[in-house]
This record gives sequence, structure tokens and C-alpha cells, in this order.
Amino acid sequence: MSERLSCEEARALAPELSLGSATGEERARVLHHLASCPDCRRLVSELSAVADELLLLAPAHEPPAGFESRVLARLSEGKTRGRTLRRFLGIAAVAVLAAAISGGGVFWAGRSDREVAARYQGVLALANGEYFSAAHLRDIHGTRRGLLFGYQGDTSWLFVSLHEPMDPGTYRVESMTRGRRVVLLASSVELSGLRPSWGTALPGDLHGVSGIRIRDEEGNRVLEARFPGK
Amino acid sequence: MVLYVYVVWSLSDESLLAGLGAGDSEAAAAFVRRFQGRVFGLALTIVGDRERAEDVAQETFVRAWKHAGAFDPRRGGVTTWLLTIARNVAVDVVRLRRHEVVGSDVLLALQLPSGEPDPDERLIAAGESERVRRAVAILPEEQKRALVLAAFHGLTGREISEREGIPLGTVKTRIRTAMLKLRSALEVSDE
Repeated sequence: MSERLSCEEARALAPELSLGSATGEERARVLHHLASCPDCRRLVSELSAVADELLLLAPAHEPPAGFESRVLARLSEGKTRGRTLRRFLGIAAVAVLAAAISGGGVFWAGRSDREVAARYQGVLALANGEYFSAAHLRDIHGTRRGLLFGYQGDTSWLFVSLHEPMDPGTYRVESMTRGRRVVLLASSVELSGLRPSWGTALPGDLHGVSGIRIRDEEGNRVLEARFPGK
Repeated sequence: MVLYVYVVWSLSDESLLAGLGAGDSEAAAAFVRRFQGRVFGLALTIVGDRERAEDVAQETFVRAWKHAGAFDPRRGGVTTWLLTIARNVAVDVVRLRRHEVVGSDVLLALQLPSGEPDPDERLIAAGESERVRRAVAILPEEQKRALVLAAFHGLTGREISEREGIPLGTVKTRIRTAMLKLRSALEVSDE
């Protein structure tokens, strides 16, 4: 990250930050400054309140017929999916282990191949799955920044684990298919926590997914991973 | 049951949101019905067509349900919290189709509001929105335009500069001046 902003510089960027239109870098730098400057924090808070109120200007419109029931159906589906996803994300921990196996991880050094294979198959059998896959997530310089895990099963899923926090802000995750189609998996993903990670159930099979790209708020590609052989 | 439904409908925005977050189906229905016009209206204003606006509005309510626990009443009302979610979802959609962004349509929609909000919604936010509308109305046109492109489309200063063919510094000054004027006009204070 660049050098620390002065109050004057932070105040100049405060309106765009409040409006949600600052670039990723500007946002990160101002937030860094705000962490230790209560005066600028107050200004951003006040301007954010103004920005929020601006949205009230949009005129109300009745949505199409049946909107309410479609939303409620999605909420109901979400409750089920949420439970499922949490269960599968629990399995992601197992995927980490499995990935360590396939990559010759240190956890399994000294174990016989047969024992490793048996454990791997046991996990898949338990979860009714077909295979796990893993790939390094690299930044634009090719530096390894984390791991992408994939699971092909009854519900296929992806799980991202980063070695260290990304800059503050939100990120967009896209999957790439073998046919070079790009599918938006999620927007507004936060990866700046202490142990950043993110996961999702896939709408289809893992077979068709060649990897993922993670983009910042500006749409710049910041991380990418490709599964082996795809 | 009838009494319960009646009680749910008379609950405050915050209580309905809490019920939504807790998975109460009656509260969820009341919440969606209370805010759907505003959420869909904002989505339509930003994305410009009803089909995508519905996708945005649906996603907004799903996120509100997921993040209901993160709502902090000290930082503003439920209406603005929900509209901020809608705005962010809509901006994501528009950004994926960047070439289709037409900021002037948003400006038109805001200056010439059409569509009647539900009587229920009018009670909730008419006062607030009228106050903001009056404050924005006194801004010079060029400031208004820069503000709308940033607030409703999430365009950065550089993107506005390129789209409008004006220097970046001018764009930033217009946005900053407009925001500070609005803060003063709306007497926003963090106290």
C-alpha cells in the first residue's frame, strides 16, 4: 500500500468514498487513514448519511405481479441452501486435507499411498462425491496468494482460502468454463478479514469449471486460479 | 392468526427486519410488501429495464435477510440501509454491462419522478425524500449530474471525466462541492 494520506488528502476523497465511487486503491488508502483519525471519520460518516439519503430520490415503482411470492420463495430456498452450504463448507476442511494429499502435502508425509487413497475415497464416499481438485490462486505477478478448492458431488462447490487479507473493499468472483464462458458467482465478497475465505455451492458441475477469477471493485483481475488439466 | 398478521403489519421497520432475519415468514412477507416499491423503483432507475430491475430487487431482499443481523439503527434507518444494498447490487449489474450505462436517464428519472408509491410507503419516506429533493434541486446542473453518476452508477471520478469529456479535477470538485452543500442543507451531523 502507498504512503499514508494526510487529512487534507483524505478529506478530498471522502465524498467519493461515501458515494461508493472511489477506486479500490483510493478506498483502501482513505480507510487506512480513517482508522486513526476521528475527525476524518466523522466527516465520512456525515457524508455517508448524505449519500444514503440521495437514494431516497429514486421514485417508487410497483414491481411486476408475483414479485413478493418469488422473493419469499427465494428466501425459503435460501434457508435450505444456507444449511446445505454450511454443511458443505464444513467438508471444505476435509478438502484442504485432500488437496494436501494430492499435492504431496507434509501432513501425509510418510504415509503409504494405499492408506492415503483409502482415506481420500472414504471422504468421497461419505459425501457422495466424485473428486476434489485444488489450484493455487495467483495475483497478476504470478505470486501465490491462496488456494482454490473444488468438489464434484451431489452438490458441487468451490472454496477459496487466502494466505493473507486482501485490501479492504469488495470483490467479485467469476468462474471460467471450458468453453471460456464467464459466470458471475458472487459480487460484494469481502476478503479483508484476518483469515479470508469464501465458498459457494455451484449451480452446475465442477466438471465444466476451469478456474476462477477474482476482480476488485474496478473490475481489475486481482487473483486467478486454474484447476490442473483445464 | 388474523391478530398476529395484523400485529406484524403494524410493526416498525426495525422489528420487521429483525423478524425477517429470524426467518419469520409473516414478517418477511410484510417486510417485502412494505419496501418492494422503493427497492424496485431504485433498481429500475439504475438498471433501466424491468426484468433486470426485478433480479436486482429480489437479490436485495435476499441480502437483507442474510445480513439483517448487521443492521445498526445508530447508522440510519432501515429504508436507507435497504436502498444502499439495492444500489450496490444494481451497480454491480450495470458494471457488468458498462457500455449500456446511460446516466442521463437516471437524472431524468430523478427530476421527473413517475410512479406512485404505495400509501404505506408514502408515510414512511415521503417526508425524507422531499427534503433531499429540495436540497438537490438547488445544486447547479453540472454538480447534480456528477453526483448522480457517482451515487447511482458508482462511476469513479475518472470514469465520469472520460464519459463527460471534462477534466478529472473538475469532476472531483463538482462532487465534493455538491456533497458538502447537501451536508449543510440537510444539516447532517454525526453527533
